[in-house]
Amino acid sequence: MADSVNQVEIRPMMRRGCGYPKPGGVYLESQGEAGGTLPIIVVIDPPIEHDHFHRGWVYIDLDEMLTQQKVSYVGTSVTSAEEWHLRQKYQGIARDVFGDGVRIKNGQIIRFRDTAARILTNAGWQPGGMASTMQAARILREHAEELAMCVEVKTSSKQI
Amino acid sequence: MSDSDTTGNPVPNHQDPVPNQPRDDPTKVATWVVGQAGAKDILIFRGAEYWPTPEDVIREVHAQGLSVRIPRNNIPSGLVKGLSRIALVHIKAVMLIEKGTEDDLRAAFEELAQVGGHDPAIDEILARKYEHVPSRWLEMPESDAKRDMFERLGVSFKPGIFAFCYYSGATYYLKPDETQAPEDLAAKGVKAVRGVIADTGELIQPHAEPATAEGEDA
Repeated sequence: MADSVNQVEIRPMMRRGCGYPKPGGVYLESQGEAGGTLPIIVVIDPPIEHDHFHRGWVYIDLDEMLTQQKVSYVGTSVTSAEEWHLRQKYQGIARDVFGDGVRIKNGQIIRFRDTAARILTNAGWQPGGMASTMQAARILREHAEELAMCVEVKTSSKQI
Repeated sequence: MSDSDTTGNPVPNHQDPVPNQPRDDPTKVATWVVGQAGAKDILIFRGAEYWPTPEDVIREVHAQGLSVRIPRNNIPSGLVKGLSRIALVHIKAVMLIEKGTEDDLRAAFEELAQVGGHDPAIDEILARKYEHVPSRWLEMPESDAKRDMFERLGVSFKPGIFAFCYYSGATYYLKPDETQAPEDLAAKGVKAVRGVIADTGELIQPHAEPATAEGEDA
């Protein structure tokens, strides 16, 4: 929308946490664009500790911070964030079944989880205790071929 | 390295050394190319007074984008549209659990329901999707049980960077009697807009909201 006389953009605003923008104020923005060419927000996990308070803006070397702080996940959507957290949980199970060097394929984590759950249910497995955990790993190893399509091995020396 | 104005137009800066262009590693070439655009990144705080949790900031950005008020006499140079990033810091972004895990925390809240019956607010938060995971526990209703739980598991929160947004421009909101941005701002590529309240179409007045300190939260 534009001001008909001066061709100034008229911008409808909703209230933010800090209220409405103040006339006379200058704002840095990340608005995204029609066509979705820019991600609106990129969530990082784990967050990078930053104890030094700044009242205004300060320059930073974000790439350096992301590298040094060993940020594991950088993503833009709830779905990808959830998938990352699921991976942290099920990657260990995949290692128990296939050994070190295995990685659940991208986009296959939900399938891996559901397949593992089906195998354990069909085997009559019940959760509870360390012995139960070891039993689950044994059952899954016995049915490894059903999970194999969901994983890949990083080293060429191992085959699945 | 070159510099740029706030519109993202590169401005050569011949004082910066020009690195040797890597030839073999495509990753290094890509980094070098981006570096040549002179895209600087900045960091800002989002205050817990207005956004109690980092997830509140994330929700607002998804719905409305990011808008950060800055002093008009201190506009950062070197921000490049689509390349520069605005890192967001919140005072409770980092969660520490000294005597347990997040699974223990979830189990403790689920046990609450077994003892005192289901609290719809807790059930809703447990089921809700969070992009900033620690915010789930910040948003749990305050209660003696929550405080005891946090104390027992050694849960605490620290300031940290939890997300970043790509810079898309600098905007000046016109006062009612103005028709264009002040010359000094226009010269820096700051775009003038006239803000109206979406629900009513009324012009946003300078006194419409309590004033907040520039550069803090706005």
